[in-house]
Amino acid sequence: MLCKVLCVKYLTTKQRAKNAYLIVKYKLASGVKHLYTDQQMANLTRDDVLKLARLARLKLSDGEIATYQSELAAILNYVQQLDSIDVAGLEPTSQVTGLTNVTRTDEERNYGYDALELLKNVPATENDLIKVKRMIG
Amino acid sequence: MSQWLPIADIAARVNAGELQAVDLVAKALATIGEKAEYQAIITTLDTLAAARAKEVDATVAAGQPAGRLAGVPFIAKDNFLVFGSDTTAASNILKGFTAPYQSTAINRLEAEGAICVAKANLDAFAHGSSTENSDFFTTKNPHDIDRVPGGSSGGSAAAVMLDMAPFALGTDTGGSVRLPASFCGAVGYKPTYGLVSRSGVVAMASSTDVVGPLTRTVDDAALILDVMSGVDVLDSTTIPRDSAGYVGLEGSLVGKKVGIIKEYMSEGLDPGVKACIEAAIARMKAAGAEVVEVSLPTLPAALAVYYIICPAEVSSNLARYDGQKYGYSTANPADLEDSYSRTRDEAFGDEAKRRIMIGTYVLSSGYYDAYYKKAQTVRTKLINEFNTVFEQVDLLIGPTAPEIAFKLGANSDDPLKMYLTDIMTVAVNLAGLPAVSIPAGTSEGMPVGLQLIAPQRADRRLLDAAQAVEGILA
Repeated sequence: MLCKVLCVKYLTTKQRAKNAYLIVKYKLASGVKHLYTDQQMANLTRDDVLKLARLARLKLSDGEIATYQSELAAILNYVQQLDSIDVAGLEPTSQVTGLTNVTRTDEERNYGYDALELLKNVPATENDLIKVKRMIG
Repeated sequence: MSQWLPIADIAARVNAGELQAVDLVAKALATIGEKAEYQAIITTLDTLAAARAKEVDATVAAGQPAGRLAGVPFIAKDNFLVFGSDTTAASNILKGFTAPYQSTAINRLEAEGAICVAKANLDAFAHGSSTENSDFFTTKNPHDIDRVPGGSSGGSAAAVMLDMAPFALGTDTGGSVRLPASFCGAVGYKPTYGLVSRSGVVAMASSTDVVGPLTRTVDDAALILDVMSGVDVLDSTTIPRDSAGYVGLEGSLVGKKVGIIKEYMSEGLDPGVKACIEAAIARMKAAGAEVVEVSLPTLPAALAVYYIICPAEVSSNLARYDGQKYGYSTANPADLEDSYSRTRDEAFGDEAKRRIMIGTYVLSSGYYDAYYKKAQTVRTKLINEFNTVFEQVDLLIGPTAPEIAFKLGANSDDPLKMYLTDIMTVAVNLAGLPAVSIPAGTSEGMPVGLQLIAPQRADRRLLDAAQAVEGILA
């Protein structure tokens, strides 16, 4: 379900060599005994990469799109080892020290920031306001 | 050896009028100039530092105490906001940004008389393990100019070992204080998550980011932690300090139960590194520690968990860099969307873009459960394993890194290979534990770091033990 299956024959020799190298290096570094095979390689199409770039507001060049297509696939392939870990009965962790609902009184505070000082870092201003391109057509 | 006395001694002599803060600042800046070829520093704060030094000297001259860090020069990684100075996070997108306020960590150090003299190089936005991802230049290892200093706090670690200042500040999101400490031969301390405020520090992965000192000794690191730590109203994830504080360490290993992490001593470990760690273990046994082997079966998966959670948080934290409010902005955009996407493509470096793309992928509709939620759940499993192990032992030990500092460029064309450098540090961040890297000998003439890990909030216990280990390895 995680990804589309990419058949070995569609990989270039260079990509195969890289995958093999990474798997060996990872095995050495971690002592893990089993790892996925080439048949389970993550796949990302050029359209997938373009969609991600649009979501992330990155206008990538053609060269960047090709590079990220192969690099992201290798990284996603690596992290797919989590598929085999049994987490039955466990909840996800997003905060590690157990703090919940840390609140404070809703009151105005003076942190000593000067509005005009903050505006000095703004690329374009007009009448001490931040100037941006039209938002509503 | 070092031209700097222990930090507490420097402050005592400044307070006694035996040393002048202006001279200490001048000495730090002169050393930075002499060692410029290592490219550890992005900016020096000559004017600001000189003015602060005069204030410290004037306080002492007026017969007032000037603080526990009176006149002590230090260097901050360039992702700390220092009021009135450039803060770039070594990124082109923040080039020219002047900090309009200051990080809590720096405020607390300054309140005790410390003086920030320079901002250190890093991997842009702290994304990396070698400083080669800096958008500006690569820092060199103090022990071998052809090797990396580690990262991402590589400029900070190199600066301390090049004797530019008695201490430097770093940040550790997946190992970024401990790894460069290991590669450069420094002490690198990563506190329990939340023990030091993140306010005023450029955010990377907010659920694992911590601020930590790089020093030459454990006592120095403990003093800096003592000054910086504790609850801050500007960071709602901060936790209280240990009531015992972190100074006046009582290092002893007698009766301490120490667990060697089996998964970190596996066959992939460089033999020279392994020999150093085994020699350290033998000395710890001789000093009275009871050493046992422990296993955390999920540990080998920690790097995969980290490289889902970290990019997810990075993609969210870097969304603010859009060219409208501050930082770089593209010229003549067609419309707002064009302004965002061209600004970000032109000014973010390759690694920032790579992490934004992965983060966007794992958080996107249809993949969130399979990647992000799964990683957060494996994170729980890992935390549970640490908790179980800490029912049996007081401390965990292992190497900080699987290898010594690598040659410049050796890993730079392969992002995943670079990520593997962090394989022994990231689990600690995912669990929010305190950990420290201390020098434990050399392999091929390069420093090797020993990593000590303690349960959450047991920073005092960790520092006491680290001081004892430092003593027997000296």
